[in-house]
Amino acid sequence: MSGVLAMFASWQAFWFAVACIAACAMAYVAGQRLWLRLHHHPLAHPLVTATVPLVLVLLFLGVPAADWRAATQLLYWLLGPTIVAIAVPVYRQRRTVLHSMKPVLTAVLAGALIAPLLAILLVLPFAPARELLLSLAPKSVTSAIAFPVAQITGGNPELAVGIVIITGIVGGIVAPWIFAWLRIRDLRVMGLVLGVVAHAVGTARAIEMGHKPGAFAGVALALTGLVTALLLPLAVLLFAG
Amino acid sequence: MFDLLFGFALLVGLQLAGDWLVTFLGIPFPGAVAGMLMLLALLVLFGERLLNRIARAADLLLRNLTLLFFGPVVALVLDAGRFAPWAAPLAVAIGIGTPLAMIALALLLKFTVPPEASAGDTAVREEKS
Repeated sequence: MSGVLAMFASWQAFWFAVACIAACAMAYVAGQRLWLRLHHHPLAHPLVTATVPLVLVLLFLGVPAADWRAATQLLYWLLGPTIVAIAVPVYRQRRTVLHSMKPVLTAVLAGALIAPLLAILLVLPFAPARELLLSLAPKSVTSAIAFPVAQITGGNPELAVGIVIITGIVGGIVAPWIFAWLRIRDLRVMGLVLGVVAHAVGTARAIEMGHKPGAFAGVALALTGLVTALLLPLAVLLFAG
Repeated sequence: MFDLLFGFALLVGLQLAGDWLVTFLGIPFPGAVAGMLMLLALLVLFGERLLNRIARAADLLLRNLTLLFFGPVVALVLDAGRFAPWAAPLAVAIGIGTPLAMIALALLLKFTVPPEASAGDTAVREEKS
């Protein structure tokens, strides 16, 4: 909240914030169009394509990261209501969930455990810092949930969001190869794997594959986020407190 | 227009209620996720009537979720130097961990989810398209 108030600290700060948010909006709209034209290819995600021009302009103008953070606080403040809104797609897909309770719950519970555990086991040989581990733990959940979860557990929320997005991109790219290799033909399984491991980027991919995998991916994405938000802070408190 | 405002007001209200609840109970849990659970409970209680009132605001926010992350992502790239020493573990965790997690989960589901009638043919057809 203090950041939002800082935006009004002076006219200069205010207009700077307006300019930054307008730049984000323009970059976002252009990035979305490009992504749509490239059939939601993971590498063309707007957070990749639109970040490049924004970063170049900021580097050219010599804007420090702290100023950028303060200016874009208003966008961050919208994150809370958006997380609350995730209840709407979950409710809409209630029949999918109730009808396929067992596969959905298996995928969500197993995925919410497997993804962070694998990431943590793989970095252990590097003698990782606590901040790195806690930023990696929510790597497979939607950035909307990873951000507040990393805040609570003591990870770096920005790093967590970056990790989440790259995880989504990698997952979206390798998923079709993995499905072909393992001869996965069940559309429900494809949707669940994409939604659980590759969150929103994977869900966009699943929607391209059809209505059914899209619905399963959306449900998996929301429920994995929910389970992780419920259990990860508790796990950190119990095992790493 | 009224529905949009009502929707936003309810979403913000539930987020604040969620924040207040987790602070009051002193539990390590994101307040907004508590708000999400409350909204889910309200939707189960009031059904389509409530859904129709808040759907526009909820969809508008969810559709444009990506926009909200330009702040942290751009700040992260500007600060990338700070995290350069972690490049190797990050590359391993994401580059190897993500495909491994997908393989493990896909195998688990392949052997636990009973086949669905005619799901096989549609999958093959849609995969190629």
